[in-house]
Amino acid sequence: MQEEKEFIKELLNPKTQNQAFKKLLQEYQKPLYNHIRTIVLNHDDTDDVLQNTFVKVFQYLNKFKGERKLFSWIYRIATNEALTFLNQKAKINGVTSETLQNKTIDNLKADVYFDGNEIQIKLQKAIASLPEKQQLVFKMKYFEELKYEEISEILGTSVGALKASYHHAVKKIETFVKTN
Amino acid sequence: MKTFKLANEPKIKSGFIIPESYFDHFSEKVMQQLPKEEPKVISLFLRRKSWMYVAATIIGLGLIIPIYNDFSNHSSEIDEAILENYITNKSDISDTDLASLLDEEDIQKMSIDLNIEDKIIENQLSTNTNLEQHITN
Repeated sequence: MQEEKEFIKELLNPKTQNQAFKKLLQEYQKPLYNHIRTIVLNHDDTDDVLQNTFVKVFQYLNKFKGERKLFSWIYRIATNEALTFLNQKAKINGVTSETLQNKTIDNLKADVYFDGNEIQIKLQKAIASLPEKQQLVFKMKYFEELKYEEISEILGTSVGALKASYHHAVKKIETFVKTN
Repeated sequence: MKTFKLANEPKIKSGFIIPESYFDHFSEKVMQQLPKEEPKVISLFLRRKSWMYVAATIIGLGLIIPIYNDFSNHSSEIDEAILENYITNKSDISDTDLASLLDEEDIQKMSIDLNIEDKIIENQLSTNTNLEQHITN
């Protein structure tokens, strides 16, 4: 924690800011890529959202109060950026978020940056049928293997509610896979 | 119906692949997009412009104040000589009109002027041949 406070000081000090931000980039670029990719699904969109996320993190550094962990603050920005991106893309195409996701999942079959078979495609389609919050909880728990406490800090939801959400998501996914 | 339990199945991976060497230049790409703090630049033209405004105001006041003073002097005070000439030459102002403007104090002042010694009066009366004419008038 003390180490994080020192790191935040470095991020806020104009003299050390650039060096500290490069360190932050190195530390977070891969996990954030995976987090965003599980939400927006294709690489090109992930690339855009990931860059925007880091620019936003830099712009809002002065507003970071230090009340929560840097990790959860950055993940929350990334989550918001990804969801906003998806909603805007759906709006531009005049379709619902679920339709857009299904279309993107169909395109995954031909995506060079996707290595999956039928079961993976089916699982993605099952996830797309869930409400937004359940999708997020399932992806963060199942694919990213984050702890409930970490997800709780990122989404601002209690651990109990997250467990219930995950449980409902799993049940719906199992039913989807069985019936489709 | 075939049962499907996520917990019983082998872990299903997302299948997403990160392009090779994607992160090699990612940091640089982001660093180039960061907003840079630039020192505030005050345009010389703008600075000159503000001085021009100040100078124009001073010149404007310099022109307006004398005109205003000149106008206010003329409007409230009348030159004494002009007034005197006006009264003298204006025939429709009678002695009665002038007398009506005199108050007690003015009359007192005038009575001091008329305080002439008796001998002078006697002399005047004895030498004046037209006295009778003055009395009858």
